[in-house]
Amino acid sequence: MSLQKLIIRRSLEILVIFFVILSGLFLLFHLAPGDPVSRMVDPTMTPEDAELLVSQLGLDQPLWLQYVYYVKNFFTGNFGVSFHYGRPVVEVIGERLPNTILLFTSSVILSALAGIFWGKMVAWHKGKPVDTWVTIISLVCHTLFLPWIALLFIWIFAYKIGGFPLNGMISPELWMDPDSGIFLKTLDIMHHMLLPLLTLFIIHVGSYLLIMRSSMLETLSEDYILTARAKGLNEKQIRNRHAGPNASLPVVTSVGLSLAFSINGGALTETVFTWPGIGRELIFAVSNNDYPLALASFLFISIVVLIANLVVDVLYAFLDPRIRY
Amino acid sequence: MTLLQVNNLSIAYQTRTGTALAVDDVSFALDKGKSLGIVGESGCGKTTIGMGLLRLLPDNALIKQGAVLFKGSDILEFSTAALQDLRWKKISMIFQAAMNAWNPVQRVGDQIIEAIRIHDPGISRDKAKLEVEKLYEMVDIPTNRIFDYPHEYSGGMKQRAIIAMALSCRPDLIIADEPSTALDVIVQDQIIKKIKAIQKKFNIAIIFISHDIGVVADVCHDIMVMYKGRIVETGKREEVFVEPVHPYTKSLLSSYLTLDGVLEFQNESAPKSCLTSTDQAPGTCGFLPNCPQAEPSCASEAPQWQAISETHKALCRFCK
Repeated sequence: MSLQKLIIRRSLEILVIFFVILSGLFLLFHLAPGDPVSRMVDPTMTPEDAELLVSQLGLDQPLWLQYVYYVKNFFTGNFGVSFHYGRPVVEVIGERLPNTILLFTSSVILSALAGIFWGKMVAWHKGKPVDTWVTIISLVCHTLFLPWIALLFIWIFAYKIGGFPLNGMISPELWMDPDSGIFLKTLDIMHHMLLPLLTLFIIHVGSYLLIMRSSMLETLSEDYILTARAKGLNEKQIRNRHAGPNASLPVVTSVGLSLAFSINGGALTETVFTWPGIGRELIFAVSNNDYPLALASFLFISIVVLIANLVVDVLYAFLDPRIRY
Repeated sequence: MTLLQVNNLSIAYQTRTGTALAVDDVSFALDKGKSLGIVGESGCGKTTIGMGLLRLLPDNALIKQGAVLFKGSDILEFSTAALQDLRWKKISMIFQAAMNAWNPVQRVGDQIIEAIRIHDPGISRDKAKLEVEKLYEMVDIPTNRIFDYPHEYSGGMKQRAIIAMALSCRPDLIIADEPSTALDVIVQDQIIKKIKAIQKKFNIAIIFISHDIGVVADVCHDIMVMYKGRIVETGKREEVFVEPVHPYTKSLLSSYLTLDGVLEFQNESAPKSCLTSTDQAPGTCGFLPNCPQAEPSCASEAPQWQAISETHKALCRFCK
């Protein structure tokens, strides 16, 4: 099947893109102001000690040789030790990345599905009050400022009404209690995730809904919808079997395009909710000159975005046979 | 036996600038197994009639009056459920734009099977597939192409597959709306032959809508010529094409048949656009501004139906 070919070809393309990112980051980090040694040197060190440190870090080597080591280290999984945590970077990333992936895949999937479903319904009732109102609300959601809505939710749901945690991902006392099982722990994470998830959902669902609505309206004027109607299908069958699948294609494209941006926005969300994810870690690492951690965060975020794009591509090919060339 | 009887059908489109009468008081009848051709230039209301028969008109269309009696019962009075049952099972369509008539993300065979099973859920998928194989053999498409996607078909194959789908429920009537217009002449010829053969084999009635007089003359027993939403001449194929009497039919035919005719036609009376018939007051002749045979009295008196023979008549005061 040509679907396999597509996956293989896209994977190879992604490898190339990743290599470009890898090299670009290397250059960026060398161009960036400040240098790692100055942060580690303290006044009690002799110039000899400082030079020793430089040669230990390999910074006195020619640039190309540093690049070779850099690539080799990446492929052997050696990302160095975080200046701040004093632990291997891989460990830190390994703790943070799954939290980010959990929050973002669930928010993207939920908001895309809801956007497709509601957009379909609203398009079907075009011109009626429900269409007008939902369109206005979607536009408002789409233009909301993320940190503001996040803080608003914390204020309303966690502070005023209560019942939701202010921040974090887990309740430490529950996790330290040896009696609490996996079920309780899962429930605890979901409880903590609800507000950040709701925030991201509200920010994203509006644009998916609007895309689906206009795409659906366009699809409904296609000739094959007339064919379906002439065949004697009822309105629900026309909407769900013929119009819906075709109209949702642009939403899938938009999900692919917005993935990188949602990770960016993710840094904000993670910071406001102190969600222990990689976006927050990245901001922290950059502002503290923690070079190894920042570099690895950048790399792993790009890997996640690339893989997510591959998934979207495959999904698209699955939904639309015309692009399986 | 009369299969379809259309009485005084009028259909209007509501537009921002007013109401445009696309079909104006049209009546005709079609017997079982016969074929009727509707010819006329673009915008004269041919397609509106075809769509109106199955009530597939866009939302801004309004059926102002008339009755569409199919086997004695009025389609215009049908409930939604009855209408959905009638569509495709009793009256199916061959569409103008076969390129776009297929859902691009579903396999062609599945779309035909859907048509079969929606009207008879008792038929299993496998049995429906066998049915599709038979239909494909009939329209000369290799059966191993059944489950290909529409974009993997050529234009002619898509059109033949539409014909296969139109036959899938063994309807009594097929409305063929410009079925060959988008195809080149060789494929067009194949399609027309196919339609003729199938019509004869299954004794299906066909309403053939086209602006291509040559094609209509090839397929149809009876011809209706439309102009600005009205039928202006109707009769047997030989009568209308060999001895046209209405001035519009004459100029239409002369524009098609010979090069001389085209030149003459253009010099004499290139008709203005007839996309809207709002400028045509009830009871006046629509062709009057372009008519080479007009007489002063045409402006004040309404055109009248003149019978030339038992089957042949025209809407003109002076045709003989």
